[in-house]
Amino acid sequence: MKRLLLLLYVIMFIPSTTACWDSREVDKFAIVTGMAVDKTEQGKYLVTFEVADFIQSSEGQTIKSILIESEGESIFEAARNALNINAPRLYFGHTTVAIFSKAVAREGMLKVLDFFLRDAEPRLSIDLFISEEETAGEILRTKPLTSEFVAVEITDIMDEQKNLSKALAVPAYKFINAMTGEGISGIMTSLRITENNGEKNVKTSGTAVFKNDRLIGFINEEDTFALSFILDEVKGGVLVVDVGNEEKMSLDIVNNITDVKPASENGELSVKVKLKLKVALIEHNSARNFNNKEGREALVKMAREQLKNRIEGIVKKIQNDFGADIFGFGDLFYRDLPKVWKEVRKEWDDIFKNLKVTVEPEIKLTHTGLLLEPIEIGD
Amino acid sequence: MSSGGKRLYKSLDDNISEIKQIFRDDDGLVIRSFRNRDNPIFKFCVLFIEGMTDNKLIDQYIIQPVIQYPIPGYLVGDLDVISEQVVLSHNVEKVCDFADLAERILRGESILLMERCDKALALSTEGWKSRDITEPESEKVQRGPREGFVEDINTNLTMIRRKLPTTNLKVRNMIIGKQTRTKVSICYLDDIANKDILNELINRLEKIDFDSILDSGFIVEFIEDSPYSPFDTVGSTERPDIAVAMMLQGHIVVVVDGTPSVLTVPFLMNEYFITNDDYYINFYFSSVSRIVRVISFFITVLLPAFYVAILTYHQEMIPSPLLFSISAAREGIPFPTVVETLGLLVVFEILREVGMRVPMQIGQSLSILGAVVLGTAAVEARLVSSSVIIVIALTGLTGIMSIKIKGPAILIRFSFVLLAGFLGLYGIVWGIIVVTLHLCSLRSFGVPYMMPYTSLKPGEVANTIIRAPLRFLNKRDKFVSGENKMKMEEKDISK
Repeated sequence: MKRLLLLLYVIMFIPSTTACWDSREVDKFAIVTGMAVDKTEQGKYLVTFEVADFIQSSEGQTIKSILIESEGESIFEAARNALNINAPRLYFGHTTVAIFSKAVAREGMLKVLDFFLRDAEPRLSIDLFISEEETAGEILRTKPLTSEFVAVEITDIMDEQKNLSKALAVPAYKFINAMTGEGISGIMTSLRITENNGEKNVKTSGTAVFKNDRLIGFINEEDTFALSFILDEVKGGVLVVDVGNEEKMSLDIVNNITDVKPASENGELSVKVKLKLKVALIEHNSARNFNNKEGREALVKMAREQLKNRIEGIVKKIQNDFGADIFGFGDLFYRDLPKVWKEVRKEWDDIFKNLKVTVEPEIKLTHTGLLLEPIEIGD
Repeated sequence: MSSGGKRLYKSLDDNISEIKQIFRDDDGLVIRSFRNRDNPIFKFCVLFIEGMTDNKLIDQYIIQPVIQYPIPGYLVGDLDVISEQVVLSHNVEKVCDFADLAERILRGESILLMERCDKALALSTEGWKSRDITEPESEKVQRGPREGFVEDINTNLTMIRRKLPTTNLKVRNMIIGKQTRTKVSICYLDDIANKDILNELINRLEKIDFDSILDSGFIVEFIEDSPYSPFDTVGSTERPDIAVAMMLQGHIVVVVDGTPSVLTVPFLMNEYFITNDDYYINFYFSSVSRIVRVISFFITVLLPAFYVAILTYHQEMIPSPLLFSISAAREGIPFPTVVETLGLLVVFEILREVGMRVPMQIGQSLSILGAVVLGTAAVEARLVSSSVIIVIALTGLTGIMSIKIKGPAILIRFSFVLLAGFLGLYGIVWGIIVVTLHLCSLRSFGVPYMMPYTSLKPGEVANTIIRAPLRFLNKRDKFVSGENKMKMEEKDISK
């Protein structure tokens, strides 16, 4: 009897030891797939939620996307205010995309990001985006090409970047690490609306550059491609090589390893970016046959120089135009040369602008496709 | 043989009237009186119960010789002459008291009474119809012997003896049950069986004080180590080859008269997942089957609980596309997930129970009723979601696959679903902990229930969820078996 009472006592306290205690049925809440945050003229937040709606018809179930717009003094209030127009509670556990307008981002991300960290539902792996259009909400109003939801469409686009490397997926935790860390500045993918087959579609348009938590500008897709090399985010993509005579060759990047090494010599700081690329010849649009020993060597040499210029160009551009260390060079000094970093951390912003960055690409052409010689027109 | 009961009288008529008194209101008793042809003073009487005996034996080998044999007059009352020179029965015993006499009649023997003799002859004339030896329905094999035990204990013991023509095989008889007086035989191999387990078993069997033993299941409940545990600690089989295989492992077999399922002790968790023909087919294939059986046990026990827990507490664990389709399927369902799941589990149990009880001819309409009406129509009427139907179907299917462990599985499954409904995955983890602790604390006749799994020696684990080639299974379980632990000569192991 005594043991039974003890057991009951233990069982009574089992539920109270759990952290989040509530059961909820899946059909009683609305699954938010994506959200867009705007600022109204009154200074309130206007949040557009893309919600999955399920329709039961004679043909079976169909899933439809619906948009819910809600205003509030904070993001959470806006989310709760949505209850006024739509019965089920919003559920953020499966949200994959959060888009912010330029106005919100210029004012500072600190105010809006806290909700994503503090609340238990949203994941830290939500990808963050900046809308290059007037508002963020209109991105969610575009028509998705292959899926039902714009958020899923955007996630698909980001997943496929392993074959393109022209947009950098920035999950919330990465941005927050960059925002709060020293010697590194945050970035986000920027989105735009494009016309495709008469309909409005969403497309990635490059990268938004942040200084602290504020948006300071954008770089385009080509520059993002170069930026990806420094950040070691290139898993695939196309390297177009200009071989003169307005002839271009395409190299498919098989893989790439980037090694960034900071150095300090006599008080002068520099960074060496070493790339190791494996490429395949995928398009040979030249009358000259490059598929022989000299040709291949010449092609690799041209590719190397052009890539080097592109990457060094984007570094210069960031240094001069934005002055924000989005490459995380400062962080590298902190990790590899902590003594040097201690001395320079105070004036890092100035040092970064004049930091000497050298890029050394090493390209290996491993495959040349099915053709041995370029196609020639016969007589 | 002779207990303190009432002794037989000298007078034949007194004896007959006493026996009539014992068997009053039982019209099955046949009393046939006759005399010797040469010496009519030799009055005899044969007693037997109609239907329990082979009448031809009584006619030809008892009545005929007794009537025709020329018995000299001075031998009146001398039963030895009759027993040794007259009757032609292979098994003749002398009986002195009425209690013994009555029991022998009831078991199908014939009693030969004689004038002026206070003893009687009990002659083996048992002969009744018993079922033919067939393949057991519940333990079919793809390969292996097709014979199965029947209800008659002697036939069953014969089947065991035929497979083990060795004097090592010991058979000890007992009688249990005040009313049913059921014959029970304990079979074991002398040098292989563990004597401690044997003594404990005999001890427990002797302690059974229940008036009826109609099936070996009655005995199981009285000799189990943990009678209130849902897990079996006594095994049973209808196949002689398995019974013998178990004996060769050191287990002890209990054969009970009147039932085709013989008991094997001790019984360990591992035996739930071993089937009949595991050792008769290729070890790769039987290993795969065993792994599938273990997996399906986990599925049948855990899947509905996981479904409930994840769907009501941990939605973030579901991949988004799956959550979308489950949400869509659950749209408009009036019941909470846990009620829906429990309800369908109950429906499945009803269907299973009905399917087991109904005659074969109705089975087909039953499956239509179950599948179409309860399945499809319920989904279309938005009473249950299609996802839960899939979960229950898989649960039921895997449950049927591990049929031996069905009883505990049902209990655990339902309690896990309830736990999941209240506490989510946290509750399931608690349930798993409780069940694991229980299993690890169980013992079957002193042998740890989880024994082969908890062992660290490769030789002992080789016959758990995988079935190693026979040449590696050369050692008997150290807890189960007695002195003789090796199946092969020691030198063969290294090869």
